[in-house]
Amino acid sequence: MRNAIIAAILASVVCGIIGTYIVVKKIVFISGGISHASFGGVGLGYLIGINPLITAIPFAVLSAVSVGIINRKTKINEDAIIGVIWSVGMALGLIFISLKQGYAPDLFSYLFGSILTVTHSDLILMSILDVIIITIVYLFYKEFLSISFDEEFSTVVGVPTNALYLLLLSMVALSIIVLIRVAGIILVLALLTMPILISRQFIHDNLRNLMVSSSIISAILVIIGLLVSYTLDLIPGATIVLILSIAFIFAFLIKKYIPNLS
Amino acid sequence: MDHTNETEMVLELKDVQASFDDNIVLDNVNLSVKKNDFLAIIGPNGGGKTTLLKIILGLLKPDKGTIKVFGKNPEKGRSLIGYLPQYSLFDRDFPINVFDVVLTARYNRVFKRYSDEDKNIVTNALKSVGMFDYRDRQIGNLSGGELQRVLLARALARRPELLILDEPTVSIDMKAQNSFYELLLKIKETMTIIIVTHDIGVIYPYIDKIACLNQKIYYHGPKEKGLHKIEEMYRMPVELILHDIPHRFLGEHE
Repeated sequence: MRNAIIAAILASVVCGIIGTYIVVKKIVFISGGISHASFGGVGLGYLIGINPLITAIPFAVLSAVSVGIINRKTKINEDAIIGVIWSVGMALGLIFISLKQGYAPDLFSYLFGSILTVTHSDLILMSILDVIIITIVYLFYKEFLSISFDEEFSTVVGVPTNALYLLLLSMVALSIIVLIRVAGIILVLALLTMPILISRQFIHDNLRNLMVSSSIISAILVIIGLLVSYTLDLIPGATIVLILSIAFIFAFLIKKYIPNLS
Repeated sequence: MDHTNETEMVLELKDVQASFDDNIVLDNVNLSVKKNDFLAIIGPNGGGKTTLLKIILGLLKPDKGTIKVFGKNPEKGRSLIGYLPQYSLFDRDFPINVFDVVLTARYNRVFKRYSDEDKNIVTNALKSVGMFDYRDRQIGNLSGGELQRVLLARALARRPELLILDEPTVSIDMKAQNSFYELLLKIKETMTIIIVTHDIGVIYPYIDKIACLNQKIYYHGPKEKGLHKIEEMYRMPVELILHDIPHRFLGEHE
């Protein structure tokens, strides 16, 4: 349980930071594509017998960078590219797993999360990724803000927008790796969007406040979800997502009917 | 006015051609803008105005032709351009306040923080458009006219020598439009201005020159002589286009 709570906090920090960019820059579905593509890496981890989270990193980052490059350099529709990497990644993962003899017992946990079985080495990996993400966002905060708000203007004033867009997508990829243990490949989008949508009902003034408040909201709700799932013996990943969505509905109603709060 | 030398040439396009998927958008466009011109590029929607702007700003490459911005290629010359995009394209819910929007114009390079001087420049730019008191407001809490002024401040915070405005007063009410153009009249004293619009009516009293663009440049010169060209381009009488302007503003046109 202690590991689970640490994992919840590590996950919530990146949810708040990267989720904020995902929501304000409207790259939710690119993120979904990257997440599903990383399943290829999970499968490879099974096949060669190392921690699937580690093999998922290059898959997630490579798919993020390729979506970004194809998106910028060709005329292929963005949503079509997302569809392609989404399914190709999943297909690769399935092939890798089928090449390995026998049934993959905890495959389910990578698809839907399994925060109660987070290991010590998972926590170390998650911490390293947290540090990388926070450092990069700290160093490139003004660039990420600029390209999220107005990419065209940023290009004109000399921001290297294409390179920074790829860097931002790579950070999305790393944050997905951090979240896989908590919510699983299929459910991570909930963690990357709902805490931000909740806090956005009340926080509008700047990106940094939105990040901090989203991280705190995420930590509280994930831990509540964890405790609820533990008490009622429900699947944790799915329970967390439901708690998040209930909180979102409440936040929306509070904003709507008690306008003074915002 | 005829003895212009090279240094007074702000913008020069020669035989520029651009196309999208085999459709020619700009055909053999020639345009030259001199220092302190106040030029309106007028043309119907879909006439290539936005494409032309993007080429000047170095965001698009033309198929053919050369572009000189202050005698350099657009990627280099654009550091002297203040650019004001259409405000209606902005996400008004974006969590950013007025001051930070304008501050993005002071970008220098990676790993370099905004300096106190940058912040002073932003303060002055906001004061010059009368928006300094709104500096802490999130942009969603501004009217269309106010946001447009903020974006003008952002363009001015570049300390530009050329100001380019894309449809600056679309869907802004009449009163805000007029005060916006009064503001431009002041700015005009210190820099070259290009306005791109499909609506010549409101801006006509303020500008000096017109370029009529619909794939080709139909006319480029003093505004009074351009009116009949606009009629030709739009295939309707100029009175309909100049709907808001009393005739005394129009001057002579043959």
